Amino acid sequence: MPDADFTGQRHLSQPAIPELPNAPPGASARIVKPGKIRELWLALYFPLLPLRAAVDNGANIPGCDRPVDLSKPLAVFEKTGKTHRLISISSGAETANIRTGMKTSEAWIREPRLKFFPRDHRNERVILNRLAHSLFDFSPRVAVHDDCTLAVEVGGSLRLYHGLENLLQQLRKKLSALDTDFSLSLAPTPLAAILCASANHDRCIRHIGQLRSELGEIPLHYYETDKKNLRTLSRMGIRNLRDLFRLPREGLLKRLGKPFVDRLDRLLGERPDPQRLYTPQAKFHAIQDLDQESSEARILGQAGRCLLIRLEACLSRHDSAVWKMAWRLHNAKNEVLLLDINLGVPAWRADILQPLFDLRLESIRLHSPVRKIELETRFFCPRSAHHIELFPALSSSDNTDRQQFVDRVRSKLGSHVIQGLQPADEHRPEKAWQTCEPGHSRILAIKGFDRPLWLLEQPRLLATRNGRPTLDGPLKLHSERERICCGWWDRNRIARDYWNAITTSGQKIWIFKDLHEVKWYLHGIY
Amino acid sequence: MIAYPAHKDEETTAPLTGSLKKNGAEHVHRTHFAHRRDISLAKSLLPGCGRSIPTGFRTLDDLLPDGGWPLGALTEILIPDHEPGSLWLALPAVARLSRERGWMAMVSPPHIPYAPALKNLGMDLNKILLIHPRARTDALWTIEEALGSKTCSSVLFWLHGPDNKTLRRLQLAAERGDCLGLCFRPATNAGQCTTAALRLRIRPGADGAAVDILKNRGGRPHKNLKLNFSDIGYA
Repeated sequence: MPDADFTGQRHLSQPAIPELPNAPPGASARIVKPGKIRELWLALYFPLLPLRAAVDNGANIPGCDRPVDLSKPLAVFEKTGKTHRLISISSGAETANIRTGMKTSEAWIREPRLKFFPRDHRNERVILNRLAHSLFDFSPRVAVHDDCTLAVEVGGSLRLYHGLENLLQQLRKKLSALDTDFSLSLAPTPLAAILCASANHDRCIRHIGQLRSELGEIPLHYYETDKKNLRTLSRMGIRNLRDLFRLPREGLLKRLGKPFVDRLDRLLGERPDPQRLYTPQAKFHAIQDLDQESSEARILGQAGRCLLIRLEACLSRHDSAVWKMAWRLHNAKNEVLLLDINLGVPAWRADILQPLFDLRLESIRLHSPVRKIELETRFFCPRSAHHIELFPALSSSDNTDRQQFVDRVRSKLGSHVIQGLQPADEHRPEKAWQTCEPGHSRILAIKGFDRPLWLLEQPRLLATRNGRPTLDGPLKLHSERERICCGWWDRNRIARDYWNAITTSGQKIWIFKDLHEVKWYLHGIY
Repeated sequence: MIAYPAHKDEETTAPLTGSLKKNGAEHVHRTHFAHRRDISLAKSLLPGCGRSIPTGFRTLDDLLPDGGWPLGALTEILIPDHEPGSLWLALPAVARLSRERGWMAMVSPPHIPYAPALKNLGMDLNKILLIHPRARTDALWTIEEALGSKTCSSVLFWLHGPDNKTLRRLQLAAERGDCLGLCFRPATNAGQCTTAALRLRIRPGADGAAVDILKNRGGRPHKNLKLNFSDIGYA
């Protein structure tokens, strides 16, 4: 069994897959349930996060990090009690002999050029959430903790990633792309993993029985932050966790109270430790800056593709699709052109969304070159399962394909260009039909009156000769007439006698005599 | 008489006489042609080779080589000026296609296609797309998209004076999309040559129309075929 050599230095002797207990004799017929997946928590500690958060100060938009120049002496302070102490320092400050936990006044004396920033908890949280979001590829269970740590349950993802080693490799690759410093540890309980990570004590503890021995060397102040408890313990001569584990439980309960002992139990896995898991917000917002200002559709399309690939990744994390996208094209004068794209069927693949954006770009005329493209959508919806036809020859295209054709036409020509048709329950011929959303026409059982295939938008006035209607010559009227008198309820009252007629060229038409005006009109053509 | 060297003659005429030869080259040339879209094999013009959909009029079906409107091809219907066109002629086939598969797209129809009448004639209204592009170039783009998209079973469009190049392009799109493309054009365009598979001229008459088959790929032209509304036999 290969050991997880994730630090590159330490070889761990714990087998990666726990051995199954031997089945008792005679129990072979019993269905053996797969064993419960053993939890393995991966903790990430970001020591420079307060510095980044404070220097950024939330001014920039998430997703576009400005790198913080760590070679300059920078420090973040926080008020604890009456004094201001340093929480996080840059490497530039470290070379000037400044350490975390120092008072600001002391640091000031050592390095007068040191820049101080107040701690920004809110921005820290924003960045941490963003990091948590990017870790969703590795596990659906990501917990955001205070003090710049994330806990990710990776025990359930080991098979998917073909083992821990591969998972860690990919995780490191992902985090190095985000340009963050971090320390990483693995343990069966989230608290233990976090403790190891924050103590910069890279460990891979895979068995709960190893916790006591592996955690033993960690100094106590990493575990306990409460000043009073720390003082009590140090008076008892306890320097690290091993000393603490040796103490009898009853004594600790008596001296330090139940919360302290409970926490210790959770650390060692003797008590369940439910985590408040991070749930990402269902929205997407990203901006793509163009290398050069451009109004060329091809270049804008490429930039749009970058955004759509990010959208696809975001959607696959949510297992959802979008039915509406808002694109904004910014020019140099900060004027914004808004392009809305609506989809008939929700889609999530960039390959499908890309042509719609391209077509939309083709249809507009840009007056000035574009500097950046913004894509925002909040209209997430669950993905619908893809239907596969039982008899593909009978129906060559399914509903999704059909809707995608409508979307294509709409994104190029606008949404009102393409419409469906439906009958309406009305006696007045001009109101007996309506436009509707394509493919969503109402099913109405209508009586089979003889009606023309074409209806004129406006009835056309016909000339008369000797009181009889004419259209390029005299009309031959059919003997039957149909009287339609209604509409008093909405002040569009009509009173008409409809006739079928035949023109001199032989075309069958539908005409009516308005009984109020006593005029003839052409209304339909067969 | 000029006598060409035998081997040279064989080389230059090889693709055309390929099917007559009995050696292995025959197969090579045939597949070579099969992949070229700009050359149509005479074999495909033989009756009964193309796919079609019955028009719903038995007398008309009998005259058409494949026994109906050709699928995957363009059909031109020439109509008198100022008249919207004999939609009833196309409806039996279009209605049947609309019930079976994709959209029935109507691009720039001259008037409102009247929903109650379409329903009476067996159309699936759920499949109707009314498309009214503003500009002519947009209309042509839409028609080509619709014909080639494989999501439309039939595309009906009304165009004034499309040139031959445009029609050829639409014809290729229809082949790609395997759909019924019906192009309604004014009868004044009858003198213009066409790439469509079928060209009909309609002259409305009492209770129906007289149809002239002007071009009939794989069949013969015909004059003055009388079709009545009452002949519509739904397949």
